[in-house]
Amino acid sequence: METAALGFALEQAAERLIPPAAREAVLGDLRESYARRGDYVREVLKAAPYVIASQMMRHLNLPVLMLQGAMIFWFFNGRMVALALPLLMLREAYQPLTRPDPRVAMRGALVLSFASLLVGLVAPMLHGHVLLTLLPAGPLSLVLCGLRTGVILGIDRYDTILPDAMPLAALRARHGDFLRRQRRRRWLDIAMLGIAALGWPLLIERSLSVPLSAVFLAAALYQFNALFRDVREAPTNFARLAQHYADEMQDDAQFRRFICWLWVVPGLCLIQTGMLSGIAPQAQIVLQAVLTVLLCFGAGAINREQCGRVREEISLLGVLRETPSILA
Amino acid sequence: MEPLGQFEQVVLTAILALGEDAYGVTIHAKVEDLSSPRKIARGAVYATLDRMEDKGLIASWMSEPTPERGGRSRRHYRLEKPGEKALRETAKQAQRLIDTISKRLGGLAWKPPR
Repeated sequence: METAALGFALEQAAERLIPPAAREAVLGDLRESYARRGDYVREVLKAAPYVIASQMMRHLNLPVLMLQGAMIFWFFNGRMVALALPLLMLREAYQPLTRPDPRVAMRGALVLSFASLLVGLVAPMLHGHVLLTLLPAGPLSLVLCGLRTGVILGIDRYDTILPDAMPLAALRARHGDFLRRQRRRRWLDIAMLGIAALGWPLLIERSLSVPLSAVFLAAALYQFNALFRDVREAPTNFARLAQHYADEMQDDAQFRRFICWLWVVPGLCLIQTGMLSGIAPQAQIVLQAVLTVLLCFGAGAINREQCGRVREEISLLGVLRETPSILA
Repeated sequence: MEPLGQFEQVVLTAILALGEDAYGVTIHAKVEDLSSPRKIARGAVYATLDRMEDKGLIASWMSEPTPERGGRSRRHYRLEKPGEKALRETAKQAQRLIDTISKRLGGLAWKPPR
């Protein structure tokens, strides 16, 4: 079968369309079945809606999605929820299987720092303060690059990459370790989210702090419920255990990503409301923009790296083979 | 365990019939063969495979990459114990239906009305 005729650009476009978790199997099957460009394109377009919908359902974590929906509803409105929820589900379906390339991350840091300051400070620039507003962009991009590098190095220190094959006992031990760590983190989350839920009304104005406390409390309850929900027996079969382990990691990662952004929201509220009052308006705008970019970039970088590491491990679990136990 | 849908029955049967050679391309071909003359969308097969894997009826693993697939791996599927059990239940139910229809309409001589 002629396989080189499809063309690089066409295959790249198909890769972009099919979610990463299904890409390898689906595009491989289509390439094996169709040599002509027209047939290949038609079949990719016909299969894509099913595959995307299936991946959206597979990556759906309903409680986390409801928490995200509640937060969007309280801070925006119902229309925004209707728009954002499908997009959040799509974003989950298209999560990459590996960590992002550090070079791309650095380029992103530079572009973001300059672009956000340019866009965010259009108004003062129009009033002739171009130099003042552009000055922080250079140092800020350096800080962002440093922050990103720190996150990458910090997460790379964990030696958690799975081998190609392992015995069932080793997988069971690894899964047990994961559950113990997850349980400790859940208790810590419950304590911190609970304290924060009680503390926001003292720090932030009432109209913002009430919904914020409600979301924090809901997140703490979600973790409390998860502590007792997940005490079910793990499968004894190797393939099922690997699948079960991957599902648990995915659910945990989705909640961690949400919680990371949840901690950013009060910071943004503080920056936009009272924290910077009492300084010159021009400096206030610059500082607000810089702090907002720093906070959002930091949360985004932690999420991308942490989530990338988890996705890497999940994809390795998908191809993990069983070896006979040494003790058997 | 919740009963299998009709399409799930067909896909599970295809995996059972194909044995070691069950992966996307062969499963789709077998499902089309079993559902003939109906045409089956390949995407529907992928979605059903995903759903059944989540239910624990089947398990999958990736093979080595091959050149005819552009250096991509195959995702192979096999029936798990719950899948086998569900398929047996389906077969028993189908058998009961066939027996009942045969009694009333004369066994193999019966043809569905057009």
